[in-house]
Amino acid sequence: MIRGQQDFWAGLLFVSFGVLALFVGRDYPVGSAMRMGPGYFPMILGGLVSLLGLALTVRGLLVRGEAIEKLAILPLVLVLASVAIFAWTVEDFGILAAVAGVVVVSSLARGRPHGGEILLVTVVMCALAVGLFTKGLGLPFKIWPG
Amino acid sequence: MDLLANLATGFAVALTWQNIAFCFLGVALGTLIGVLPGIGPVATIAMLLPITFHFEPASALIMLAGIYYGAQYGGSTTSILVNLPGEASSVVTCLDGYQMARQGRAGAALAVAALGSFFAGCVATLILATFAPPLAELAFKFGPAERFSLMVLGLVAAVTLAHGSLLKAVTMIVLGILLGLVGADPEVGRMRYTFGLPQLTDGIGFVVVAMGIFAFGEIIANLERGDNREVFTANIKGLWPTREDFSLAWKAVLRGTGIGSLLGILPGGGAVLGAFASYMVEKKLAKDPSRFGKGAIEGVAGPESANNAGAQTSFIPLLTLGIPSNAVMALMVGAMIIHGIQPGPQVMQERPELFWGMIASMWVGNLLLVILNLPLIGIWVKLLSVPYRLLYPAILVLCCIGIYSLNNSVFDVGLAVLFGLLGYVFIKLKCEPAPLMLGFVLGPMLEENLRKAMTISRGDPSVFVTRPLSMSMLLIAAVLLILVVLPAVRRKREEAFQEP
Repeated sequence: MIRGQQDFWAGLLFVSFGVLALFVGRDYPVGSAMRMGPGYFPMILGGLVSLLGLALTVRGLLVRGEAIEKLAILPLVLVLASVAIFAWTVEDFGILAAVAGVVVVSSLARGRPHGGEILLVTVVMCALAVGLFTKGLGLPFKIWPG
Repeated sequence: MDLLANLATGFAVALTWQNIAFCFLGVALGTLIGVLPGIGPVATIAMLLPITFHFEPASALIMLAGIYYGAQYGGSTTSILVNLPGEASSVVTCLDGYQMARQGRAGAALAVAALGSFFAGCVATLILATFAPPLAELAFKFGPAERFSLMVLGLVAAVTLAHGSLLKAVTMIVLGILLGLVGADPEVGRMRYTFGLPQLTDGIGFVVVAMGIFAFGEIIANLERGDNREVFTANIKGLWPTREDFSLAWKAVLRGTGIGSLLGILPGGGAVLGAFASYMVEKKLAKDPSRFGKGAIEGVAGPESANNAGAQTSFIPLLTLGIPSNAVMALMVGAMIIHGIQPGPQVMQERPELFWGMIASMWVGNLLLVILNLPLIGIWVKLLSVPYRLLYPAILVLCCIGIYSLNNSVFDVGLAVLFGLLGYVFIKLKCEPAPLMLGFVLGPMLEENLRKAMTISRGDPSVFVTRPLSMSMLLIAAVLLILVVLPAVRRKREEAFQEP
């Protein structure tokens, strides 16, 4: 019975953020209007996000709206995984490994990856990361693993 | 005559060889990232921020500013030739610019965009130079109540001109403000929403949010759309706009400059709003509105002038009030603080060489940009023929390096993954991310000024309406809000944004 998919789910997302804010912040001292505590503004905002989200959810139930397009799981997972790999490798394994990880994994996000092209991009970006960012601009990257 | 003396100070700084070089570097980089989809000024400036520590403050700011307004020029090139906006502010240029390119008039569109931008840039620089000093004077009279009301006005203006659902835009703003509160409470130091993570003590970095939501979310969405770009490069050589083009375009350029300059000043303004507003105005004023969307030159000239003017005047709130009006300006605050400069009205008096040098450099930068974008257009077009499948892994690498190097923090990179997911979800749910970003940037300042104002007034909220300046700003905000909710205006607004 959901007529507007986008509104409905966006509303629920907002409501969950709002409720989370209210719940996590439930112990923050609110203070008074004259001396606002750390909890005053967050409570107002949390309540506001929940209410607005609720309104959106209701609109999604009542008013016909657009459906949500299909999610592209493969690009989503691979692109984000490539960034996570960077975070995981850059300090322990060095910038070369991190860059290669990002390029190889994210390249798989498109259909029909081409090995030669991936190698080319990896080499170019590794050269940039070391030559320009590490040596040239002095960013504190470790180059090699170990 | 103060103006001339001030500008002379400025040009003395901007015209040293070193600063011309930095300015050139900035605008060239700006054009480059403007042409490349998926990497914007926010990502680029974030990446370069740690490096600028080693530069002179004036050189650093000149270069970073150049990246921002340079990106507005570059963004138009991709819009016109590939129908793929390099920057958000060039989205409307696609509508008519790409159609012109399909009709073999890409050269005319590019020339009008570049010349219009140049004109707008020069005018906006003059506006900046003329109005910044009196505004800074006024800013000294601003108390917390006025600052709060001004930010509210900016947020409301951002909502009214954002496209898509109003309700969603408002909620995104409030959510953004909430995200901005993560970290230690500024007054009593109590941790808020840090979930026990020490890395969140100083809050979530805006680079993390911006890269996650804009860069990563955008790349994923691009990948799913697939690479069906059609580049019209064959017939751009030697095409100068005709006499008729000029006579149609010049008024649009003038109007676009005016609209862009005005909207750029608002917190929440910047380049994007001006471009949209200008397109709406041109379509409204045209004798034959049906030409729009089919290659009307005014539809390129107006918005392109407006986005460049807006990019430049959006420095006004930063330099006079210390309020960053968008994510790029928030990064500029970061750049200034690295050098121990607190943005605000005092900059103009304490560091005139910095202030006026930056303004003068914008004029130099605009001149360089015309040269970079008209005779050298071929180079940028070549870049466009690099397929996206080679570009996006490279862009991802640059983003990762940018996020990491800001604080040498692996945690930040991981957090950006989360925001990437959120950004993609927002795209799927048609929630515009720009209002969220603005709320995020202004959030902490909004709270600080609200608390101060209420303390001064001893808890009496009427302080916001009894002080004349504050009241007039809130009044304007209320009128704007009512206007948008009115059914008639609302329909028009939806029509305007629903263009193909």
